[in-house]
Amino acid sequence: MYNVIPLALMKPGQEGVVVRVEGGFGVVRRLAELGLVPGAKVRVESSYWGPVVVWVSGFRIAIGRGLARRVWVRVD
Amino acid sequence: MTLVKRITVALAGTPNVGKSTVFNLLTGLRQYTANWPGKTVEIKEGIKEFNGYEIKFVDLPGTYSLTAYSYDEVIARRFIVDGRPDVVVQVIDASTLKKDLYLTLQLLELTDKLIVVLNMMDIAKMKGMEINVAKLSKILGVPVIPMIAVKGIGVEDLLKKIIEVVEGRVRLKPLRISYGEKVEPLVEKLRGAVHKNIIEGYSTRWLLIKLLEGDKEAVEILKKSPEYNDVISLYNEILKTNPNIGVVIASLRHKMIDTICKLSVRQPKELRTLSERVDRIVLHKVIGLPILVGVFSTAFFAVFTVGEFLSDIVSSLFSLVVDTLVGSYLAEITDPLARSLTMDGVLPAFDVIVSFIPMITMFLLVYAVMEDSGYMARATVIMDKYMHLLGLHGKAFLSVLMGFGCNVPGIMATRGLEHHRDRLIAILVNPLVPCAARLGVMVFIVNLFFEPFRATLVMVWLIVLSLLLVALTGALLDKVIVKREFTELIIELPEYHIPSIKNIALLTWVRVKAFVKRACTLIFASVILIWFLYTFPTYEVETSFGAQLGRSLEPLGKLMGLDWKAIVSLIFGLLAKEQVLAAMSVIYRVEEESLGEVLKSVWSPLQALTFLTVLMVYQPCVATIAVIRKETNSWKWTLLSTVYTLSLALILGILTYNIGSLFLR
Repeated sequence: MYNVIPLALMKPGQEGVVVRVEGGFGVVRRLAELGLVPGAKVRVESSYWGPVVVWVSGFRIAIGRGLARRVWVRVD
Repeated sequence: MTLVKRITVALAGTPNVGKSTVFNLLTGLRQYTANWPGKTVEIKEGIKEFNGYEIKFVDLPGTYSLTAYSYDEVIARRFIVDGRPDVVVQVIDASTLKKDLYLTLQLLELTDKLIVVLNMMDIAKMKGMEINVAKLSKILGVPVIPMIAVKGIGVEDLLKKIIEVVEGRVRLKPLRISYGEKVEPLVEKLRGAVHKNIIEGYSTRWLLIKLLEGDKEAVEILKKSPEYNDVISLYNEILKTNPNIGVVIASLRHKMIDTICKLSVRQPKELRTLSERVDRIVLHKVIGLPILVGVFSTAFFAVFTVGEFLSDIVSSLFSLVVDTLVGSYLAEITDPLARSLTMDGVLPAFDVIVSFIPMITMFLLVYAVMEDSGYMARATVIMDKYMHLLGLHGKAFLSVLMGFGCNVPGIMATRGLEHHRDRLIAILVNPLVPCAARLGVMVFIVNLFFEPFRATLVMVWLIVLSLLLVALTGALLDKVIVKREFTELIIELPEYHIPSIKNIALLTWVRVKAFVKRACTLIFASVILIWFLYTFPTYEVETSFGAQLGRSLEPLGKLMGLDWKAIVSLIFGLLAKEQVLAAMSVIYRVEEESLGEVLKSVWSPLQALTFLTVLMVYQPCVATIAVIRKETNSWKWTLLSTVYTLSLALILGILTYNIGSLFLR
């Protein structure tokens, strides 16, 4: 049974696979360039009020919370 | 005699891969910051002689990609295309190979002469990665050089390989990327609308792929083509059926990278790195903030307390040297003009500069350590939400903080901002952050006119007003300057590094040199100009051009209840805000010790408050103006900033005085 939730709602330590990224052309492409594309494995490292820190393909990036609400992730 | 052959090598790479270490290792002290007109990005160049070649290395800005997303990317790309370097070297962090190969694939589309440097091989090994260098080189079709830059391993190999590539002794078969059945037909379709090589210097295929990625600069380049209209209408048609084509291309590149890594890298399951464990504490929701306060208090202390201490030493040394070496000559100058020029113009100008340098050096040192260690990125993550309250980007935090000490390092601290636009906003709001010099004058005057409780209120009000102006100006500029598509934070958290002393020292040295060269000449000229205003034509302040200017501005001053003496002191304050008090004691003809009594007799508390309001808001000093000019590389923005703060000061002065009169009379 799978659930698709926004990255912003994932708990620290939770893993998942990116399903889709919403937003303007530029920001979606930017995230894609950093490896946050549909099919990418992600793990949330820290997430509270403020940016979300996420592990993706071997390194970590922090993305603004508003943006993290538009990245949809399939979690177990 | 053999002729020295000159070649140019561009150094590319994503941020945090140790590119600056490699650059320092290659060029040592023979480097300088290049002045690229109209650019706010710091670009370093350096020279290395090797085997009869004089190699000029150009350190391009660190970028993740070469799509025209940020200013840095545009600059890096333009240099590779227009600068026509003989070789492009990409520095890769071997331990985060996957992240860096994305840039590699794009470089391969742009240039044939690429050399890949696998830096930090030791860290990759520690992570348990086994990289088959020969295999990787074969797949990419370009030379791959393993390196451990901090230990100097691999540099010689790189230099040799550069020469081999230049002399054509290496067979290069750069990987030609095919984007498969989803994308290639679209490229072909677009190519159908093009008859020959559309723009000289650019590969047609590359331009078309960039167009499909939605690259705005590619569109600009294509505009020069006679076939532009056909290509664009075809492109818009494609977009209708394939709106996500940009992401598809990015995904395909990542798939290709996965394949490359599978073939050339053996890697155990991802281990938790030390940095990840450290970040659990540093980014912790409760203890993260106190750690940050601790780190930045230390930084602030180092820059301003230690900096000021060093400034005092240097300043005394300077006057000692002047006295012993040229003192006797100075005493002999009898011509009043020459005497005034040296004693009141040139020497004070040197003194201003000499006392600035220790503080700037300390700041640049602290800044380099913060950047190099990786802590800056964490601070940005923690501060982002608070900075947004001020309408600023998280990365502007250091800039505002330093501004409270002095706006000159405050403005220099905006260098970490990736987008030209964000950086410009951060530079333009910084003069409104009240610096220590202004706070000092404020405390002195407020305590003269108000009893302790009210004094506190007044000071809090003045600081809150300043910060409100920062926020409002930030919001205003955000509306006025052409918006980029989004403003949300995206930042990599690099592994922590213990900064290398040699690296930090070199970085600081080059930057201090650039500051002295570009900003100090302007500071010097401004100090002389102000000397001129207060000396000519009569050698008396009260009848000088400056005083005449002050008198002619008196009608304006009346609107705020200020007489010409106050205005003249404010003009003098441009030299440095702490000079306002000294200027007043000259104008009111009193010793500085008894200045307080005199001011109390000529001003009402309301006039004092108005004076302070104006003092807090208008351009801090000539050094700030000089550094705005240096960092924006534009007179237009420098002038705009000055006019803006002056008008703002005037408006707020008038408002304070007139609203205050309603209540305080």
